[in-house]
Amino acid sequence: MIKALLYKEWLKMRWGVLSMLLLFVINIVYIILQLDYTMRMYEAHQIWYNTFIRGMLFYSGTLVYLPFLSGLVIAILQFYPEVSDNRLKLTLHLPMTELGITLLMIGFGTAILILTYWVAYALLTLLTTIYFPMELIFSMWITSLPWFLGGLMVYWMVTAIFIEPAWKFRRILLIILAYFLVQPLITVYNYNAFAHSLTKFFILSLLTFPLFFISLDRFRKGVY
Amino acid sequence: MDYVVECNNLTHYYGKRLVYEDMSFKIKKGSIFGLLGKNGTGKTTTINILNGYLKPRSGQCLLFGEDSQRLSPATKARIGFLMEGHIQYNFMNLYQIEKFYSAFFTNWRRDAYYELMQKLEVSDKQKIANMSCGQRSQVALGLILAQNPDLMVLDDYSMGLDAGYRRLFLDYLNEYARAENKTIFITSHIIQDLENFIDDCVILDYRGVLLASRVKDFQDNFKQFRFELQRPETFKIEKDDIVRNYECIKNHGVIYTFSDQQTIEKHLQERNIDYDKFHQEPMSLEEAFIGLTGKY
Repeated sequence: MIKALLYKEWLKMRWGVLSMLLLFVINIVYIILQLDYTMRMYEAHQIWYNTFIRGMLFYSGTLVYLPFLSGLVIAILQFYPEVSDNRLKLTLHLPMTELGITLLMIGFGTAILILTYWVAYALLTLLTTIYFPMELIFSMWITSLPWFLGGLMVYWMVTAIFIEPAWKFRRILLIILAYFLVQPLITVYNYNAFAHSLTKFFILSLLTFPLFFISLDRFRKGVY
Repeated sequence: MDYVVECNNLTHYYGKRLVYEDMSFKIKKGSIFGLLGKNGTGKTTTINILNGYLKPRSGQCLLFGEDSQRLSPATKARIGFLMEGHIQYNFMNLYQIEKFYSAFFTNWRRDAYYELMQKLEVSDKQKIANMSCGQRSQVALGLILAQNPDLMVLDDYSMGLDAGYRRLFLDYLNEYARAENKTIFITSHIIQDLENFIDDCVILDYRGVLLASRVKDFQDNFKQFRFELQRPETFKIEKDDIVRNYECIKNHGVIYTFSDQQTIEKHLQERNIDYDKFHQEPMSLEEAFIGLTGKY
């Protein structure tokens, strides 16, 4: 049963997942090609100075937005088919506990996103080690981790917005909440910007996870 | 008595609008139960309550003895559910959807599904989203028959279907359900199709439950009396326990009632209504339904 439910989830999101992976790969390869070009054109100490002293990130740009975009895309692909025509009723009617069904659905989406991010991290790390020592790689992880946590937060919030049955108030409230939680992460992407608040931010992003279940409970009760 | 469904004193409102109040009915094992009513009278609301997707303002529904708000997986496996509009996972194709559902049900009958799919003459790779409404209805029916449930909850199976597909749907239900003593809860606004199919019914209108009865009793006891009015302007009557509904078109009067001819004639005479050619006319189930609920 679990395998069948995951099969359904995969059918909905597979092209989106593959497209997002491709986008990550293209973006990372582009970043590395640019880095390689800069290395050839300028002296290494200049790059070192810009990266560590001036905090200019060679890996920012589009990479800041891709985790958010992938969270949004996966949430839409996974939950739009469920809420259009109230198809979620069919899913909840499957002979499993409702909590089990929904945990599997949202858990699978989260796992797919983490896997996508892991592939992106691994590729970026692998290619960056050609040019930089581990010290920079570590700081790159610290700097970019909030973007990826933000991507998960977007995924969880968008699923909650989709499942929420009442358009007028709760959905608008959730959209406003999502905007204020995510907006700083897109606009602030300096070198180690969230290094000192990473744990707090991690806890904050986890707090958005249960919103889905609040919306689901309202869907079940037929709140309108 | 072995009841598969028991709904007790259901009351529901949307905001301040009352859908129905204190609605109760029971469905016996092996019977076919029709919830009949015009659009917007609360048929889908009842289905949503039955399946646990809507919490009624008060009252309770039991399915196989379990509260519909907290159905166990084992009980859900015994209930086949057809959504209004034959909604299914339209991002799947015919092969994928059978593969998906078959994993959930131990008594899955693959042959029943593919027997119907062969009639569609479409490829297994055909996506449900690209099918016609009639074809989608066959997919939804095939899946329910393959599930082999003890109770089928069918929400407006006739929606969007032409006469051929509607007939096919009921023929298959008859073949599978009647033969195997399955219980069916069906709603529809096309009443004529359900004649000779359903055993018991509840008829809803915009104020609540109009009637809960065996269909045969309803057809035997609900009567239509027609007559000619000599002075149509004198035809002034009210709906009550005797006159359940009435019509007057030019000089033709019609009264729908559960009472006998003698009572109705006395009722007219007491109100000084002059009539002629008073006679009873037989009704189909649809005519009786319209007679009871009205045309508007």
